[in-house]
Amino acid sequence: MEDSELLSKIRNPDTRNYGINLLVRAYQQRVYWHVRKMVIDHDDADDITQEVFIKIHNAIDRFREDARLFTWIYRIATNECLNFLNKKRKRSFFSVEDIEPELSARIDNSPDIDGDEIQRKLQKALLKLPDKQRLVFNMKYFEDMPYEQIAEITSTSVGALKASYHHAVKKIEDFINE
Amino acid sequence: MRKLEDIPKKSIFKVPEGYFDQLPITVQARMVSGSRRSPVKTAMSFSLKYALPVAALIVAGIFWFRPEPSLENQLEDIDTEQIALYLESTDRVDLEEVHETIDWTSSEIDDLEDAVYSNMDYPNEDLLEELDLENL
Repeated sequence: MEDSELLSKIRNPDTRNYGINLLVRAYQQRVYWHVRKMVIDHDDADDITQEVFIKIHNAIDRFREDARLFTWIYRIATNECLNFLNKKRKRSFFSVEDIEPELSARIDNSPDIDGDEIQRKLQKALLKLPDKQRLVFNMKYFEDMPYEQIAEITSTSVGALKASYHHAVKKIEDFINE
Repeated sequence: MRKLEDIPKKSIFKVPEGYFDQLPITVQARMVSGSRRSPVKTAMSFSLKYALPVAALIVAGIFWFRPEPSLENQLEDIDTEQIALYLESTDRVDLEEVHETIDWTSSEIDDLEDAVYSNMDYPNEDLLEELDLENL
């Protein structure tokens, strides 16, 4: 279903609930996996994904179609992830800066995570990156998103994104070969 | 030297069985009720944010405003034998040393006595009576 058709269903009071249901079903996996790769833990990803759709529901009437629905939803999901990680750092008792060891331990111990040693090591290497660089890397490497689309979501230039991605790859390879 | 492209591109994260079938229902239920998903977590974070600092202030207040124990109470806590040992070891006064240190003339001693008696409020009769009683 086209985004315009989805939006017209949501904006019609008679079909609003149906339209919302279609929207959630259409975007839930992309939102969830985008979030999950950032926060690692399933329960946190579940909370944030739900919160993203609640925010979309509350703000959809203000959505102007000068941006694509997909971009707008990803932008909300991205903001929620970054806010969550910042809050987590502030709540952290022992360190205001570093949540990487906690997330890294989760990669080793969570029953919701599998994969062989090198794939776990790749995920741990990603945790060494700054949040925004990790976001860019995830969208480019795992989601195969074009730079132009990432640029729309993150409001960053394509050139800056390319540089960020190449730096990220270099850091990850250095970590993997340590 | 291992390169990124040598690593198979695969997601290592799993979701519970049927999670994506349930998620739209959960989300729509929340939209209708306007509730938050994790009231327990919210209560926990509220208590961590406010209750812990308040509790810390109360504990600090108890220590800050606690009355100092009286000298009698402090002495009660000390064993008599310990006091005796302490006095034995520290309170020995060598009389010769005192005589050497205090080298007053007799007129100076008279002046000192006058000063002591003139500051006493006792009438002479009471003082004599008390001295007599003590001597008994």
